[in-house]
Amino acid sequence: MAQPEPRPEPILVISAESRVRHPRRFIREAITDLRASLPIARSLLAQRLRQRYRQSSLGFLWAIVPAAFVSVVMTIGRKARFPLMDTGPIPPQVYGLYGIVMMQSFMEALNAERMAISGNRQLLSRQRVPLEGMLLAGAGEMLVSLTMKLVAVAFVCLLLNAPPALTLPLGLVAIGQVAVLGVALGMAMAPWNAMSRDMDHVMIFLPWVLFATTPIFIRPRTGSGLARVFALNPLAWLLDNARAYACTGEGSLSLLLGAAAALALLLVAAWFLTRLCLPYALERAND
Amino acid sequence: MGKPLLALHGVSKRFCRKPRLNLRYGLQDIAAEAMGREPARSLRPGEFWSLHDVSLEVEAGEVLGVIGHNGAGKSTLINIAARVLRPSLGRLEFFTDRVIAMDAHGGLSGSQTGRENIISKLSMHGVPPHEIREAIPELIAYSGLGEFIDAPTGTYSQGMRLRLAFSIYTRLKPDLFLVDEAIGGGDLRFRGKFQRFLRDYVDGGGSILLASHDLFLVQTLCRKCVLMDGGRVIDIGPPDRVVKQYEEMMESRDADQGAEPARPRAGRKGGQAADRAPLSDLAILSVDISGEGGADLLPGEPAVVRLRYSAGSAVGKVQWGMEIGGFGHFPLASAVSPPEMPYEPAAGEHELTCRIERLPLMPGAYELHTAIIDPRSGAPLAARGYQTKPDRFTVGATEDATMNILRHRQGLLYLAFDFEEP
Repeated sequence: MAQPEPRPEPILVISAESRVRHPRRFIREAITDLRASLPIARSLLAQRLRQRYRQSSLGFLWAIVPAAFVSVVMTIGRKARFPLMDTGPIPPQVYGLYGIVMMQSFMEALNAERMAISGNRQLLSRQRVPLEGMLLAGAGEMLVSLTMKLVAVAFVCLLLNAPPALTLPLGLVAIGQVAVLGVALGMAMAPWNAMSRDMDHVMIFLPWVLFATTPIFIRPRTGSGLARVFALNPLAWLLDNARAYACTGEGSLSLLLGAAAALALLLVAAWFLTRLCLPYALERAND
Repeated sequence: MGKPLLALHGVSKRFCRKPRLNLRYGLQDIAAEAMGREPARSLRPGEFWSLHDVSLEVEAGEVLGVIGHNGAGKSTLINIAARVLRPSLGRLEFFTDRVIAMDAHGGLSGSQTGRENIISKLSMHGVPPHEIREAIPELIAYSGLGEFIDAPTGTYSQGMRLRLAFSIYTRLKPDLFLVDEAIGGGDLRFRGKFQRFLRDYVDGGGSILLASHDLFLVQTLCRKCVLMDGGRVIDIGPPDRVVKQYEEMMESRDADQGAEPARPRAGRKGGQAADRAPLSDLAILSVDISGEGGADLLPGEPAVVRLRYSAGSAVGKVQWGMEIGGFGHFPLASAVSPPEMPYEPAAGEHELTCRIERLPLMPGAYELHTAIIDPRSGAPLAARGYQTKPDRFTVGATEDATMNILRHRQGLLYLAFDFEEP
């Protein structure tokens, strides 16, 4: 008598059991999804860039409009000898320009990742699409925009005869760290953003809080109250370090390396948290 | 027993009805998951089981239909099988990674153009970029979207969206297709194309988990069917038995609620968009219904339906059928030629005839819808009256006291009894 064919082993098991009970499987699935998401991310990025500037009057120039505006304002402010414009050895226009470019990139990264679930809910709740595709596309969009802004910064520095320091490459790394912080925080906010309207309210005042606690345009005098506030803000450390490396060469290597390690951890933690929360965020998304 | 593709073991899914509690429960669930706790086995206040203890298996080459009224748990089942939702309890085993879900939106992103959707959907399923570039012209031609391919799919009609999605999926050739009411919005021509695609796909060894209200489609495609109610599996078995049970369940529910059975109104054809383009080489030229020898139609008397059609070429075996509607009800009655008596029309014009021994209609005006269908897939090859003006006919009255009373009391059917001697 012929033996019945043995039942094959499943290639994938999905259960209600907590995924953190099997950390290896959890990490393996995350890496598999990350790999699978690369073509999707590439295609989404190309489409987003087209969509972003498709219906705008200035097209890609919108990426550098805030930076250009700030340079003009800082130049006028300097000529008028505006008292708050103490930017140390860095020309105020360059100081403000770097500040606005980094903050704009930080906010763009934060918002793109924050919207990764809620902005793609229709797609994510109908098909199993790796979320990493949306996260990478958001980060890529910010990176393209940042590159264009840095070209504008180089152009303004050339006009003002303000050459960069030899440590500019480290400055670019530090600028990248600011953007990565935005990516990580945005990623961690994404599930909450999909589940609740709270984040919409938070985002109304968060830019103002950051504006008040971060040296974007001005550098407070050492020992002043504002300097003490800025000293508590890790984003301020990153901004100052990036500007120092890019303009004067007096950045802190220990801060750069420490920030790199901390951001790597934060990025992975935010990614895992978002993956863990995704199914709950999708089924409880606040439309 | 065939090779399993997907198995569900005691799968349950709970949802919360109350938005205020929804967020709190979501956070509790995330915290429990992060701390590695066992999932809760009971419901919290405001929650309900959308799926409860569902166990079933889909094998290679099998079409498993899932039927049930709205809220029965069909879509949740499909979403869990598509891995969009995680089960609250139980487990799923996948024996293939080539599983594709298609819902009524076709799984497309509305903000992207048709072309962008093709690229992202194929990328998502691992098709390399050079193959995507090569496939695009073919897919555009297959979808028939033409210049609309560069418009956002959010501006498409449902039929257009489905045509595009369907074109993409034909390229992907999954082992298991998860279909959730996907063709409800397509026009008759698209439905026919989709039904034939599904039939060919199944004949080629593909499998489908099909959640649908379209009982005709379910009975045509499936060899096994699941009846769901309140998130539970009520019955699994042959479609004829399960569909009958579903109809009885719905009628009993209507009766319990004291409501009129929900029936589509005359003139409403499932929301299908008008599409008068020919469905195939076949065309129905005319339909005529009259009494025997051309006499007037009368209740209880014989009637003959004659359908003239033309075939551009020999089309193989076909069946034909009709539906009659009137008095605000559609259909009131239907008939389909038996599958064991298929017609094989050659090229040219032909006539099909059907005799009704005793016309069971009361005096009044009626409309007649006719179709020639592919017996293999159930797809319409030619149709008349569904998306075009239906043929109308009138049943005259006889001088019969019983009938007069029945007309006065708005009776719908005339039963031609043969009373026997005591």
